[in-house]
Amino acid sequence: MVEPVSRTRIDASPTKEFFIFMLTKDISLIRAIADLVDNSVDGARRLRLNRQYDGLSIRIEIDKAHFIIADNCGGISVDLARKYAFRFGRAEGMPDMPYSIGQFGVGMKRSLFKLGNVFSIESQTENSRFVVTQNVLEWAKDKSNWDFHFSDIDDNWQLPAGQESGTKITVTELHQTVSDEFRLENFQTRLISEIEAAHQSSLDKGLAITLNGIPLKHRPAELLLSSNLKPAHKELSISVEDNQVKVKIFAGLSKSEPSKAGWHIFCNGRLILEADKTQTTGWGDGNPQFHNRYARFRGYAYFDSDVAKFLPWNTTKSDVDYSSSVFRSVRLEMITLMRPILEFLKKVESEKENKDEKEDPTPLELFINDAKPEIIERFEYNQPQIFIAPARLKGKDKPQMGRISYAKPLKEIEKIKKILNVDTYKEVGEKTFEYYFDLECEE
Amino acid sequence: MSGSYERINYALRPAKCIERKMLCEAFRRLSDFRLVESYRYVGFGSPYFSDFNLFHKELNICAMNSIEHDTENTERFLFNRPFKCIEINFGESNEILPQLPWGDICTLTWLDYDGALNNSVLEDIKHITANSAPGSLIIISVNAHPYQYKELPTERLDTLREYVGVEKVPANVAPGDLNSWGLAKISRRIVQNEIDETLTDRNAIRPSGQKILYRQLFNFHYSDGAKMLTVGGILYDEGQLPKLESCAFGSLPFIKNNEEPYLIEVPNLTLREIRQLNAQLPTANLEELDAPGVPKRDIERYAQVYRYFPTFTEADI
Repeated sequence: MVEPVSRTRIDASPTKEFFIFMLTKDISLIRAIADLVDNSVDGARRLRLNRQYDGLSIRIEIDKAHFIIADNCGGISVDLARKYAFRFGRAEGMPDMPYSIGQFGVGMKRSLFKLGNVFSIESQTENSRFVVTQNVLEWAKDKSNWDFHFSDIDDNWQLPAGQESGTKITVTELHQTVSDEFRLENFQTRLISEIEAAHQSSLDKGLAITLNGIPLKHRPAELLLSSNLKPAHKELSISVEDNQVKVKIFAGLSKSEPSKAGWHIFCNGRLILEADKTQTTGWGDGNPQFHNRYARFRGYAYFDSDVAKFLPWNTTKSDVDYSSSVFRSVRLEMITLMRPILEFLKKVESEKENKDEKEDPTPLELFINDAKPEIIERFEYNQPQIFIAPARLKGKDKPQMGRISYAKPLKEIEKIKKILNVDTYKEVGEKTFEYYFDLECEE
Repeated sequence: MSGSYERINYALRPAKCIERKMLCEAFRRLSDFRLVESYRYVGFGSPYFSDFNLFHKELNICAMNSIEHDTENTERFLFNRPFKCIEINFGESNEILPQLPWGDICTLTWLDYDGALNNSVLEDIKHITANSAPGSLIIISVNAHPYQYKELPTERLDTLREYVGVEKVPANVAPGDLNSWGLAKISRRIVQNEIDETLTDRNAIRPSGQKILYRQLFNFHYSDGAKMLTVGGILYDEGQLPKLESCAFGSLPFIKNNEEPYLIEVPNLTLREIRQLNAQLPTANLEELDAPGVPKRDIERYAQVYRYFPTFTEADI
């Protein structure tokens, strides 16, 4: 007879295959690498609470056989590695790291599994050092034992003078598709571009990141500013379970580029949504759907918190967690702030449609052209600011105008020109119109 | 829309003419691969059809498609078609290439564009790379003259990004890399990257041992006024490697497998000087070549290209 316990038992335990083969499907190769960069950036954040990262660097190297990421950003202590860093899922009791980017406890392992079959992590801090080397397929064979093992460990040492604390991760036996991508210069270009975008605020604060020796550049967010064109701005502080999520929103105009238009959302300095034009950020919900006439629109929302789990991001850091109450309330603010900007851009468009000469900029376009791009962090706002732009000029009091154009035999036009004593066809048209109007329409 | 054919007679551009003959000589080597006359040729014939003329006469290629984007003067192009076997496909290359059958037809595709490398050219490259049968050649000619700029030469990098797309410009290209022959070098790299990336996708489901590979054969720099780049090579199946090696492309001096270009330089010589030099060629000892008063440099240049050298004379026809 079967024992009662096992008769009622349903096996719901996780399998290693789930982590190795399934979880990795949810993340792109580039995002997986960006996740490892996040870990290094977190190290920099722990090391420099003032957020000035000069002297700190992250070196990434990829080729068809290797992936390496090495930093001098403080390293992982033996204690942290032993108890928390390799756990699948964030373990209870793990100390909060202020303003950290990694918080789900899946990033590093998922990235390592995504890349290849053998990984090695070497880390040294001020007073401990270790090496973990693991063959993933070997590890997967033992269904019940989930442990990794230190291949070298010293938790009672002193960082030698002249050496820097830091972590180096090496992945070998890359998966075939990964190796194929790593060979491509176009892949490297895309990787650089995505990491530049994702970590622009850290790069801005002096963190040096290189890929195969190429230094990454920061591309600060800019909005157009002039005496009569002012971007919208709002700061909020939202309480969640005795913690604060600080939010800064900027919205305004920039160069007309459809691919860059939309909302950009950052969590603890990490870009998670780039140039979004969907309902997520309020398009088509209280605002019109995106259209190329709004290609000048740019919005930036920065969420910052000591406690990373309160930030509205998903685990791949590639989208917002739409169900987050913090995000829902900020989204309403975003909708409100973008509204006048879209209205203004609508006016610019209609002015363009009605103007006489297609080539000349319209009065509103002239105003936009006069404004200069300014890095948003340099805006000096002490209070909320709604978008300010010049109203449509003159046109307000002027009656609505329409255009008439038609062709007539030259001979006849020349005849009228002579009689009216005018020089241009335009005048011929206007005078003959006025003549008819005076005779037939005046009351 | 009018083309550059209205301004320039292609047959009269000496460097282009030399390049065409060099390509023809390289095509001939393909016979170890398969019968050259069984290849199809796809190109931009313009109304002069110089390339079609040469390849039909010299190689007996009979399946020929000329893509012509000037759809307003179809009559003129049809009238100028030199041989019956040339089919003219009117439309943009973006539009015509996907309409042509590819399958297992080995094709020599030489797209000799008027303008600089841009997105639309890259689309064509992707299509050809994704669809050409193993054993096919893909050759691209683009204008690679440094871009005009308004105020600062650094604007050239923005222009390049605008033309090919930000994501195609390698991250370590600096604004200063785009002067002189710089744009030609970067253009070659971007073409190579496009081919590499397309092949990676194409090979994703092919078993190992049957991957399609690309070997660059041509990297011409030349100038009949504006600086031009011609880059291209062969798409082959891994299993065809022995055949490729037996073509011995490497023994042709103008074949280039890497970023080092082959510069076609055309000296200005009189007919008498040409005859005088020809009588001494070929020779292993360039030092001994002599034509009265002709600079040494020009003689050396001539010796490199003499077999392909065009002579233009006025003819009363």
